Amino acid sequence: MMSFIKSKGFSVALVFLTSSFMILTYFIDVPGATQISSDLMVWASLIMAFSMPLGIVNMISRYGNKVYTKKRNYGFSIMLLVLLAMTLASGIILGDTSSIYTFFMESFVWPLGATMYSILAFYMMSANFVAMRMRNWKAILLVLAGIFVLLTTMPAGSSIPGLTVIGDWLKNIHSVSVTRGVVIGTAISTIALGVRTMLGFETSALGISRGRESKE
Amino acid sequence: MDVLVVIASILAVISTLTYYTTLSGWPNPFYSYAEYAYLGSVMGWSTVIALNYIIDRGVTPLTQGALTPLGGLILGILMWTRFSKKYGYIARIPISISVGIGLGLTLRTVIFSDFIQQIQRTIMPVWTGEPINSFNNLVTIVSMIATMLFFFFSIERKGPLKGIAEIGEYSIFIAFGTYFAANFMGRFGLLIGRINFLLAPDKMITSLTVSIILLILLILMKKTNTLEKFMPE
Amino acid sequence: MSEERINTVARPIIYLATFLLIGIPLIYPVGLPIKVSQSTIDFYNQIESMPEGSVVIMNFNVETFGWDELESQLVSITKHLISRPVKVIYVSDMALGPAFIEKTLKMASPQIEKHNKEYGQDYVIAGYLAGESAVAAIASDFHKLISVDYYGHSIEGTFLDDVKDGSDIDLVISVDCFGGTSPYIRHFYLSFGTPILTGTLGGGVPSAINNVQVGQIKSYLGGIPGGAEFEYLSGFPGVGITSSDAMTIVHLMGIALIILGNIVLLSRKIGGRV
Repeated sequence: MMSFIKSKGFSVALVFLTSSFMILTYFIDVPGATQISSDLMVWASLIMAFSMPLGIVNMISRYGNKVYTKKRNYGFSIMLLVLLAMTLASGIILGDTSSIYTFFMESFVWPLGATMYSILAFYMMSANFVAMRMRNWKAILLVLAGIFVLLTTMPAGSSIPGLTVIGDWLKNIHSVSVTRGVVIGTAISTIALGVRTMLGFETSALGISRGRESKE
Repeated sequence: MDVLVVIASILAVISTLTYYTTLSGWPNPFYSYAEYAYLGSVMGWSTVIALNYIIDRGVTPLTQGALTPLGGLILGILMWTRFSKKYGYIARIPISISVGIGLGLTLRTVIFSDFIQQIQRTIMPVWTGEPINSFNNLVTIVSMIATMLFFFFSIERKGPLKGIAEIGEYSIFIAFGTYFAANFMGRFGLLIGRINFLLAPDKMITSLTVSIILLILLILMKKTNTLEKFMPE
Repeated sequence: MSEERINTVARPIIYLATFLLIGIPLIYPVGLPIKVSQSTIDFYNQIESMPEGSVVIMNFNVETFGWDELESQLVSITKHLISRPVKVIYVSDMALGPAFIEKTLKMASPQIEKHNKEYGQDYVIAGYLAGESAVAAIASDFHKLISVDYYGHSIEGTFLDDVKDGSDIDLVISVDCFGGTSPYIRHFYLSFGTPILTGTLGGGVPSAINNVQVGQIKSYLGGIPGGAEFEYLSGFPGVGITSSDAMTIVHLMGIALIILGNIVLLSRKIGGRV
């Protein structure tokens, strides 16, 4: 029994059964099946919530090891673990609407998260000078399209008559058709990958590498 | 609790500006502080959200008599067996079930939203009687088909396929220009928000002070070659 | 001077110029004109057309990195919804989203007081939805997943008693920075024909335009310009309008740098150094 549960076939069978059930209940109205289907959706969302804190174990292990083995400037790792503990403790003990829990959000989570992505803006601006050079025909098309659409996306652009005609056309007609082609291509590959996963040809999503079943 | 608000405000400015020290191009301990602080706090924050979700959507309904969440809670707990060398294989059960459910949910709808409806919308008359509309329709149809055929690598590109794939390639490069401009707007939206934050009347002096201190420290540490010395391993 | 040297010298100058060209108009606004686009007008009209008592889901698919750009959209849409006789369910499919829901509602508290909106009768924060499965679950059977609100209080006795599944939702507004509209298209629009509006980051605009043309969403707002336009149209000015000048100037700087970079390339080609 245990060896069957350990086998790749069992995992694949579970994937096949649950996904087939979800697909079939969408198209065929069977009494009671819709109820089970919505139960499964609740289960999936709960499983996802349980998987979110898994990273904490890895994090404590990795940075705790740095402190234990006294790696260079391990004070940073101590700071990380202390912040982790304090945020967790304040959220669990005092509640997630408490001012101390919110303090960590306002001091670290929000400003650092926002800054992380805004840095790319500086790199984009320097890329405008360094990288957007018309060295060949494809680059010329890319750069010209970029300029015309930049004139369209700037807030004051549409107030100047005629300035945004080409940019609007590129944005609303041409890029949409290319986007649509990419979306359809992505959909085909999603379906193909999904069917491969259902049939067991693709098991990486289950944590099983090809050619190596669990020997546990 | 006003003290907490003031301290949070100062820490937020410090956090933001230390992150921007990476723009100097020099690896430095201030940026390391920002990275480590973010990792620790966001992990704690996300975990609290997840735990509250489990309680609100799993435990509370269960205590009120609903049996649906019981299966989800049991499967969720089984996820944690992955840390056991002996019983780690049990974690594959909830993973397989959630992958299966997610697959089912996606496959049953993506075929309509991202395939059939997209194609339906593209089926349009090439000649509508109005030249501009007709031109737009022609460009839409040709670009879409050419783009799809550009990504078709299963057969050798020769003859008409080669020509259409090249049209697709040029079409994609024009679209890249559009995406670049759209992303440009997006990224600068984020940066404008950050600078707005730093230049807010109640934070401007703090921002100026912290940035001058950081600049002086960075230059000093660069000159004395101590930047890497204070960075974590 | 080699091209690489030019690029190395130019970078810090560009970074500093970027900061100054954003900072100065934020402190000293110029007041450049904004023209409201058709997509924003359609967005606004869709909300205006909702009859009294309509139930709206407002999805905050917002993480820390999206807030700065989407704040103008989120705040102005929220204020506008509060001024309308509709009932709003605030949800988020991002872990940090509920914190921004609270933040936004705090910013909209003058409107809440002015229009006598009551928590539980006019709006509820349902909280975090973990993944697409959760969105599908509320479309299929709302109360099976959600029995308590974000604060842990029972939703019994609120207007959610009348919401059984997706057919009871009259409009979905998803302001997203990470593809949060797609689950609603798949589980609300496809199953129930629910009209959907979306607010996106700048980079999500091409995809949103495609969704509008296919008919999956009614309209969209794009980035800060979209937020500024909606602020102007709805009569709730905010950070969008104040940031528009900086946005325009930074676009012009971007175009100028592209042209300058290509002048450098051309001059080197003419000089035979490329």
